[in-house]
Order: sequence, then structure tokens, then C-alpha cells
Amino acid sequence: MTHWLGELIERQQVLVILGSGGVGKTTLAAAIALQGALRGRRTLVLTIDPARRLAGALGLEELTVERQRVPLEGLVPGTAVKGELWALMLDAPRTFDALVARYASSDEAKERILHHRLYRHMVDALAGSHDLAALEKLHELLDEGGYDLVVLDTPPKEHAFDFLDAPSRLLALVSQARLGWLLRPMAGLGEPHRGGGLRMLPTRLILRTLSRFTGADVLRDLATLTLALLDLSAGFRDRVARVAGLLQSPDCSFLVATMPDPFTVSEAQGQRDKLLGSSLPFAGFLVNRCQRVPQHAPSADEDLEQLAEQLARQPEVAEIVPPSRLQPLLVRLGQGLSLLRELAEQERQAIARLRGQAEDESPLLAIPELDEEIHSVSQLLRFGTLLV
Amino acid sequence: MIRFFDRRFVIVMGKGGVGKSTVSAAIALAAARQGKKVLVCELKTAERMSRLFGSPPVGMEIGPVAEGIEAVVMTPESALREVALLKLRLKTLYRLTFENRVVSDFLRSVPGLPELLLLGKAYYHEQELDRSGRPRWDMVVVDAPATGHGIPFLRIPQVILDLFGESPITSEARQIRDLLQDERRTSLNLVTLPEELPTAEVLALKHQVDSLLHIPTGFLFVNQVLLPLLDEEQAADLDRLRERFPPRADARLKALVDAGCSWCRRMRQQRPYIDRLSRQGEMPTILLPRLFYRDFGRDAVSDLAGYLFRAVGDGELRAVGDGEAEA
Repeated sequence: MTHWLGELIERQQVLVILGSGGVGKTTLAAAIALQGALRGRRTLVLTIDPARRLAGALGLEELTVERQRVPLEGLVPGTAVKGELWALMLDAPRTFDALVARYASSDEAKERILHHRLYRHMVDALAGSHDLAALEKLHELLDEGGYDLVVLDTPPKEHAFDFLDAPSRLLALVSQARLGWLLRPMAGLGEPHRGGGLRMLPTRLILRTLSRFTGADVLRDLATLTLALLDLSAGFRDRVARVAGLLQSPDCSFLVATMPDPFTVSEAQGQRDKLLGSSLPFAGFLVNRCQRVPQHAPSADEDLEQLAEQLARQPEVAEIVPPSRLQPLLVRLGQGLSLLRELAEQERQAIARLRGQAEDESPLLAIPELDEEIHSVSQLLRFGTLLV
Repeated sequence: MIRFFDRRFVIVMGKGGVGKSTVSAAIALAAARQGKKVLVCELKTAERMSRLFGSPPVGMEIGPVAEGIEAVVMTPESALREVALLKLRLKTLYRLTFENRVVSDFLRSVPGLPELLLLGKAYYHEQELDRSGRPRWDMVVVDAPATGHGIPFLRIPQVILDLFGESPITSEARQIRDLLQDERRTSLNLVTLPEELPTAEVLALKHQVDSLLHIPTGFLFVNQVLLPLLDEEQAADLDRLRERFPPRADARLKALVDAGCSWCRRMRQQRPYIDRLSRQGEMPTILLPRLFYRDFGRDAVSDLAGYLFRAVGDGELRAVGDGEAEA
């Protein structure tokens, strides 16, 4: 039986995993990428903020900014894995610096930016610069060619708009038309007034007001940096447009990873809505860490004491644990199960909300919470089989 | 030393998804039960306090969520608007400047400014007096933005002081930094989960807090701790049953045994992280149990508040978590 996620893994060129913090995006991305390799595809997973344990789970010392090949020999007994799995970690600041270096019109322009007092801070502070770096890296990797599938992990974001707005917001920031009128006077703050007349009045008023807040020095520094960034705008704009085009192509799919609690589900709904609003290909939800109530668990209204009594007396178990101890033990286990059932019910409701109504029902995969953390490739493989 | 509940500015920090909001709500409720007037500031998140307490949404205007507890959602934009209107008495001037799209875009790019505005607004409420000249609130709980990206939230005042020349912003930053470092008024509390990434991150954060920020700390809350389902003898019995499980036994029995073993495995998985946090955290640690409510609302928060209050006690170091799971 082909499952919708399995089909995506077989067909798509890019899978982007979005989601709030703590849902398990990076592990999901790695597990999905591994499934790609098992299907004979040359796959790469680009991770953000990976745990040390994940490196181990991929059979690597550590994840680095250089891509590494994940050893897959002997993973599936009796079969040679035909695909390949590569892994790398994103270094957002470095990628951003490379972006600047690539699109600056001259070495001098590049230095003016990279060595500006406020550059590092601005990049750190600017919502979306890390997301933009991830997209930039993705573009680089696809340009390099040779990958059948790239799985992109993303920075944890409660608010989807950050990731998807990032390119256009940054573009707006460095766009000539919008800021020039404000920045040039700012950059000239503190210097003798340079004409302008009545037309400049509102601008000067704005500047004076702003500098009452921030001080003139700050404005001047920011203005000089932003003006320097304007230098990037032509090539940068092109690049951003191409990356955006990439995301909207039919070869790309977005998955929203979430957990089945009400808060995270609300965030996931917002993330999906944002994708749809931006005409980006939303393919479904991955609901991670779900409770699993065993199939033959006693039902909620069953008399636990009686059932425990009945089960404890069966000869083949009575010899392992005497009924006098087994009965209360089973009652206790039953109580534990009913706790799990409460949680499972909450999750069921959250998942129903997520799935939505009949017509625009979203594809959704509920993934059980694992008892143990993933430490090896075979555990990652086993997790992956739960997905497809 | 000032008691935990007597500190006026209680910050709750942690990675995304660890349960900062629930811990903030529990702290607020525990304080309110002692007769304190509490304000919970939700920074940059979607509204959660009202959902947790089962009250109507409050939005960006301060509103009640429970007896003795008010809440407000803060965004940099709303904070900027208030600060600007306060300082710039002329609405037209404000509109010309701050509601100008280009200007507001630009301001959002000023490193640290949005966060400083949020801190500033929370700080303002800590200082705020009512008409009779008394503090409007006894405690301001700050449900801080998730750590892990951008400039670390609490570093902002110092970053601004380092970067910017003397200006209204730097004097504001200085006042905020002083409040943050005042151990009579502030406690920085960290929230984590007994899992790899949150544990590693919270320990790194604690180190940074001590070495760089000098902000007085309160408690380290470890959330979602699974309490033991069975006593030692029962656990041993369960193990034996699992090992020698008869192949044709009743399916319902298997279900019960499987569920029990799963619980035990998860508990064992958490243990090393809990130990590591207690040892290396260098903060009094409080374990908060995983609760199993169908609707995680007022009752659940009330439970947590009870655990928290008993654990905090008189500010002594007592860790909850030695009891059994309540069914």
C-alpha cells in the first residue's frame, strides 16, 4: 500500500519540514531522508540545530557544515541499499556572509558590510535571516546538482510568517525605492544641513522624532549599514525570486510537523494557512509524539477489579506472579492505561481539528511517541517505517 | 534572601515547546492563592493564559483571566505604540513617524529594539502604581519568548548599551538591566524537559546567565516528569511477567503489560537527564509531573500550582517527584 508520504518521498525533489519548536522536526527530516535513500534515491538532509544524538543516529561523529555520507551498509539485512544518504548542518551566519560576498558589487562594498559594527547584530536580530540562509543553502545544493531528493529541516518557528516572509521582508529592507529617502538623510545626521527645502520637512521631522528615541548615532550607524546593504539589491532580488520560484514548483512539497496538544495544533493550523495563503504547496501534517493506546486495552467502562481478578487467575500467568500480587498489579496498570486514554482522547480531538472538514481535509499522519530516544541508524530506520 | 514569591519580576524562560506558559500560569496561580495580585505578560506568543484558565481572551489590553490574575499579550509593535504615545504627546507626530510603514520596517531591523520594547513594557508594569500610590501588582510574571534563535532575549539591554551611544534608548536599557540584576526584585526561572536538546540548551543558558548576565536565578523547572506507576516490588513483578510472557495469554493481559512496560521505559529514559540537571544545573530543581487531563485547563493548572507551591515551600530546596502517579 503506497502511503501519501511514501509517494512524496519517491517523487519529490524538495521536501520542506516546517513546525514549532520541540516537535521533532530534525528527527523527522532525517528519518524521511533515510527512507528516500532506501528507495534508491540520492538524498541529502539539511539540518538546523541538530542534537549530538542525531549525529550518532546517523553513524557520524558530528554533523558539520561540509556534507558527509551516512554509512548504510548492512542496514537492511540481505539487501544492498541502492540510494545514498548525505547529511549536513546549516551555519546560518556563514551562509549569510557568503550571500553578501556573492552579491556585493565590489570587494569594497562587501567589506563595508561585513565589517560594519552593527552587521553581525543586525543579521542575528533580523527575523528571517536564518530562514533566508536555509533557503539560500538549499538553492546552492540544488544548483550543485546530483541530488534526487533534498529534505530541508527549518528553524523552529511558532509563527509561519517568519519563514515565508523572510525573503520578501529582507528584500523590502534593502530595496532602493522604499528606504532611500529616509536613509540618506539619516546617514548625514549631525552634518550641516544639505538643502531639501519644504519637501524635506516631513522627513526631517521624522528623523528628529526618531533620534529623540534612539539617539542620532544609532540612526546614522544603521543608515550606513542599510545603505551598504542596498548595494546588494539587484542580484539579491534575483536570487530571492529564484528561491521563491523553487518553493512554488510542483517538485517541492511542504510538510507541517506538529504535536497533538491544543497550543501546538493552533500554531500548525496557522502555519498551514500561511502556506496556502502564499500559494506554497502544503502537502500534509506530521503529528509527532502521539499516545498509543494498545489495541486490546480494556475499555474505559470495564470493571478493572473484576478483569484483573479474572486475568490473574489464569494458570500460565499465576505461576509467574502469584494472583495475590498480580491482581493489584493489573489494577494499577489498568489505572495507568486509563490515564493514557485521557491523553489520547485530547489528542484525538486536536487531530480532528487539524484534519478539518470533509472538503478541505488535510492529509495527516499520526506518529506514535517512542519509548526511547533514537541513537542508531537502525532505530532511525524503524522510526521511518512508521511514517510510510 | 528574598523568598521566591516575594520577588516582583519573575521571568520564565526556555526552549520552544518545554511548557513555559503552563509553568507561568502555575506560578501565577500559586501566587494569587497567597493573596497576591499578579500580571502575566505573554511575550510574542499567541494568547495562552486565557485558554489555560478558561477565560475570555484578553488580547493586547490587560484583562482578567482568574481571580487575582490578569494577563496581557505583548508584541513589539504594541509596546512601541504605547511607549511612543507616552513619550511623544502628539498623536499626529506619532502617526507620522511610527505608523509610517517604512519607518516601522526599519525599526524592526534595529538589533534588539523589539525585544527591548517588550522588556521595557513589562518593566513599566512592575513599576506601575495604582491611584493610591501602591504598586498595581505584587508580581509580574514574564512568559518570555522561546530561546534558541536571535540575540538571547536577556542580553538585549547590555547589547544596546554596548552598541549605542547615549540616548533615551540606552538610559531605558540601563534601567532595565539594573532591574534584571536586582536580586531583591527579579528571579530568572528556567523551564526544560528531561530530554536531550532541552537539557543541553538549558544548561548552556544557565552558564550564560551566570557568566555574562549576572541575573539572579530562581528555580529550574523540569516539566513532564513521569511519576512512577508501580512500587519497586510491582516493577520487579512486571519485569518478570514481561520476560516470561506466555505466548497464548489473553490479549488484554498483553495490552496491560505492554502499556506498563512502555511507562517504565519512558521513565528510565528521563532519569539520566533529571540527574544531570540536578547535578549540573547549579539551581534548585523542581520536577513537575506529567498530567493526564483530557482538557488541559484550569484544573490541570491548579494541580501544577499545588505541586509547585509545595516544592517551593519557604524557598527551601525541595524537589517534588518522590510520590506516585495519581490515577
